[in-house]
Formats: sequence, structure tokens, C-alpha cells
Amino acid sequence: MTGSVIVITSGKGGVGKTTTSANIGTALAKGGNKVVLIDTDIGLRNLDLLLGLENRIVYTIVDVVEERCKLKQALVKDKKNPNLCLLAAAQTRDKSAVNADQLKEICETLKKEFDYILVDCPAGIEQGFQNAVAGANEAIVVTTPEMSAIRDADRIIGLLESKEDVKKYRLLVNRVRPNLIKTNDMMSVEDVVEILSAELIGVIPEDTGVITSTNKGEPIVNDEKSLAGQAYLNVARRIQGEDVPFLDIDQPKNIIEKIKKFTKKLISKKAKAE
Amino acid sequence: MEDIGLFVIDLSECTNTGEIINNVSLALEIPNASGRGISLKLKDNVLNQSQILSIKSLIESYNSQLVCVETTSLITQNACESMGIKVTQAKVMKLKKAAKAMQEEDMLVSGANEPVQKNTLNETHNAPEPKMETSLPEILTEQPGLPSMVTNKFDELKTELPKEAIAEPPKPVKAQKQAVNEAPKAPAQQAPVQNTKEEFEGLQRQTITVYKKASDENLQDDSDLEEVDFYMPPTDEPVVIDNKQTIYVNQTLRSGQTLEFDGNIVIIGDCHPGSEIKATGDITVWGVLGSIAHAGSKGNREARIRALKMNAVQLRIANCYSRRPDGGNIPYIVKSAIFTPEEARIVEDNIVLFKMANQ
Repeated sequence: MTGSVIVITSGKGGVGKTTTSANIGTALAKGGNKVVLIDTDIGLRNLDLLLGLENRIVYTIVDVVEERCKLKQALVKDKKNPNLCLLAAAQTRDKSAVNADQLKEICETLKKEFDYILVDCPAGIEQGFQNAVAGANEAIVVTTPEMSAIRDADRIIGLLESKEDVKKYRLLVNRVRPNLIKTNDMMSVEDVVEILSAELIGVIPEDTGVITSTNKGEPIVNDEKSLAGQAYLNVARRIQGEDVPFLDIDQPKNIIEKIKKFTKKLISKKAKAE
Repeated sequence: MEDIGLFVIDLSECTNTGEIINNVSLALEIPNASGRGISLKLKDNVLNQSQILSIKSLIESYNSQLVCVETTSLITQNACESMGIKVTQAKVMKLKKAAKAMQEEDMLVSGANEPVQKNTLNETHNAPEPKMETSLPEILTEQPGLPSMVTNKFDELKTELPKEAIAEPPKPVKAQKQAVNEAPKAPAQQAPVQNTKEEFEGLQRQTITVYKKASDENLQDDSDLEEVDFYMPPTDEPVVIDNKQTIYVNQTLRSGQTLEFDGNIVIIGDCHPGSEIKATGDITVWGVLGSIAHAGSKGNREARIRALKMNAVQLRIANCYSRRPDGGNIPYIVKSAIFTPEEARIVEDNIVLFKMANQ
């Protein structure tokens, strides 16, 4: 069995790499895959917080690299899903504690036992990025519909294309706000895809639930009512090769909007029938 | 100990001096009690020098001698010491557990660890205390009327006791004394401890074995202490008392910072999550402890971790690891004047938090 190593990267910070890693990882594990999440953001780790595993970490990736423990000992099992493991980053060191070859070796070892290895990449294009990308076969580039994020994503895609091992990269547009797109205050997903000319893997709507779930230490995919959670579940299914239609993220929030949308649908149906 | 027949009087239930004297005289009426060494279990009772003196003279009027006192009170301890009476620290562990822990510690030491071995040797050598009464189960509670049974049981226990276990109890006594000398500002060092247990959730069996192994490795890793210089304030020269030092760190420990020291650590400030404190001795935090703390990192199971507010991600003492219960995260601590300081120590291989009440 050889699993695929997917790096989740963005260039710009704060666009939702870590949230995406936690949610896709959890969603894949929910689907019965064996998943390991690797946090390569040494010195600024957060992935453990989003998964609520902070208090279980004893060994980190630096301990593995410096041979203070075995790789298996450093894998922290998720509270709810035994299929999901986390290899945490050290908080008290910096990016230079690990080099690209070592990370590649870790990925190669984990490939034998896991279906998916998700590597959470730090922001920037320095050593941390080079480490994270080293072992990856695939990449998910996270961006938001903002000019700065798109510019950085473009740079990252350029770097990814120069890596031989990365066979495939796909785009995930995060924090999309349909209201703003309607009023032309935000770039639409289509625009983003066109600017970056990359394959789209998912569109995640802005959701306040993400903030609360982050603070609780529970990924939002566990909340079935949440739109963002469903979007992440769909992304996970696309990673597994399923062909899933994109979610209608323009969902009305109150009753009046719901009625409006319903009537619009009816009218358009009638028009088609005529 | 030569005077094998130490007669133990348990006074832990007493609340005032009158009761103590009454119980002592009752116990001394028992024929077996006369002409022997007497050991008093005082627990958290606070007695000053003159009160101890009167109890001593009372005991001497029965041809017996007050040999040692077991107490958790600092005042009582000081009073006894000034009169030349031996003092032992009340131990939570029961007899069998004590012997077991001792054996485990021996195993650790035999793991080719020189510094630890040295420490243990020194400590046992320095401390001449008799250890028996500390491990004696509490039989005499408010029952001074069954003397023969008591002594019989005592003798039985004595014969069962492995030799090395006899040498063990002085250790905590010494560690305790040291800490008092070195860290006078430590919060209520020996305040009476109430048994309001609040157990940290134990880790799964599997992981525990992993951890033990890790601590073996840590024992070797700790030898380089270069990082300490970085965190020590330049003005703060460590005072050498015996072979255990204490450093005072007067700053807030932030995420990513580590503090490692061969000795005791006193932090005046908070410890934020993401930082790590590691000491071969005790750790005292005059603030909120929200990080990982590892006391007795070279295998000292008597080491303790205390803080004004305990919110630690993980607590580690010697080779025992424990983590914060899930959902127990307190992201924002409202700082108020009312804090209940807590102390973590090992009880039967689990790390248990004890609330420290004011004296």
C-alpha cells in the first residue's frame, strides 16, 4: 500500500491552511481512510489546537528527526477517530530543526501504513515551505478571493511546478462570501480560477462556525449542519477521486430570503417549461 | 534504628492542644508505652515550642522519650528541630507502595545514571532519620486502648519491611527541608494539605510504558544545561545549598520558551501554553501555570509542582506523565485576589493535585 502525500500550502498566512488540513484530514478519516496529519510549522504550531490534541503531545517531529523517539511513538491518535493521527511540530524550536531530506524520509515511511499523508505547510516560501513540499506528490493551494492571497498563490504554484515530485496541484478557494460577490465587491470563484489557471478542488464559504470550532478544538466537519463542513466533506470526496458537484454556497440565511429564492426558482422553472 | 519499639501515637484527628495532651496522656497510660521511644503523628496541627516542650515533659514523666514527630506544619517542624527532635514528613504512600516505589527507583538508578545515583547516595547518607513510623498504617486513630495489638502489628510490619525501604523515608524529609531553606517565598511550602483530590486524567496503559522509556532517555539528555544561561537573569546568581540550586525567574514564560535547570525553579510570573519548564527538583510558579512542567526530570519521584492557578497542558513528575482532561481548557484566566494554590505530586503512580489551604 502506498498512500499519497498531499501538501496544503498557500504562501500567504491566515488564509486557512491549518483549518483546511484539520478538516480535510478529519473528513478523509471519517470516510474510513487511514490519515496522518503532519504539522511542519515548527515554532508556531497550531494544528494540534484545532484538533484539540494539545494536551496529548509528548513527542514532536523534531524528536523523531533527532532520534529521541520512534516515529510511531510521536503519532498522536485523534480523540474520536482512531483512523486519524497527528505528527505535531515542536513549539520550542524553529524551522531549521528539520531539513527537507528528513521530512521526505518521514513521508516515505508513513506512506507504507497510511492512505493519506496531509502536510500542513507554514506560510512563506523559505525553509519551512521547502521542507513541507519535499515529500509531497500532490498539493492543495489554499487561497481567498483577495488580490494579495492570489498573488502569493500564483508564486506558490510557480514553485510547485518546478518540483518534480509534485505531480498535481489543485486550488481551494476559502472564505468565499456570496453576498459580496453579488454586489461585485469580491472576486468570484470563476475569476480566481481564471487568474490562477488551475484546477479547482473546492469552494469553502465564510462561516462563523469555523471560529467557534477552532476555539473548541473540534473540526467543523463534525458539525453536519454547517455549510463549510459540508464543503470540506466534498473536498475530501474529490480527493478520493469521486466526482462531486460543487456546493451551492449561496444559501439564504433568513426566511424572507428563503422565500425569495424559492419563488425565483419557481419562476425560472415555469419560464423553462414555457 | 536501635530502639525498635517506637510507639506511635496518632494525633491527626485532634484539633487543639488540649485534646492533643489529653490523648497523649491517655496513650501513655498503656503499660506498653512506658519506657519507650514515642513518635507523634501530628499531621497539620500547629504547635509552638512551649507546647512541644510541655508534651515532651509529659512524655518524660512516664519514663518515655519523645523521639520523633511527623508533621506537615512548618511551624511545628521548626519548633521540633530547634529542640533536637527529629521530624519526618507525613507520607501519603502506604507501606507496600513505598517499598515498590523504592524498588522502581533502584531500577532507574541502575540504568547507568551517575548523577542520580550520586544524589540518592548523598541523601540517604545525610538523613539519619528512622523511617518506620512514616510507613506505619494508621492504626491508633482515636483508639489508644488497644496497645498490644498495635505493637504486634508493628513488629510484623517491621519484619516484612525490606531493608532498602527502611532507608528510604529520610529522602522526602531532606528534600522538603532544602526547599524551605532555598525558597522561602514559595507559596505555603508546607501548609496543611487537604485531600481534595482532583485527578489528572491518566494516560492509557500503552502510552505510559512509552513514557517511562522516554524518561530513561531524558535522564541522559539532561546532562547539557547550556540553555539555562540564556534564561537566567544576569543579576540572579544561583545560591548553592548542598548540591541543589534554585533559580528565580522573574518574567513571564511565553510560548516557545524553555526553561531547564538542574535544581529547583521558582517562576514569579505566568507560564503560557507552548512553553516548557524542566527541573530536576521542584517547580513553583507564582502565577498561572498553563504550560508543560516536568519536575524531578532525573527521576526524583518526590518532586512537586505547585502553582497559584493550575491549568497545565501536561504535568510530568519523574517518569509519570499526565495530561489535562479534555475540555478542561481555561483559555482566559480571570485574575483575582482569590486563588487556591495547588500542588501536584505522585500518589501511587498517578499525578494528583492537592489544594493548598492557608495556615
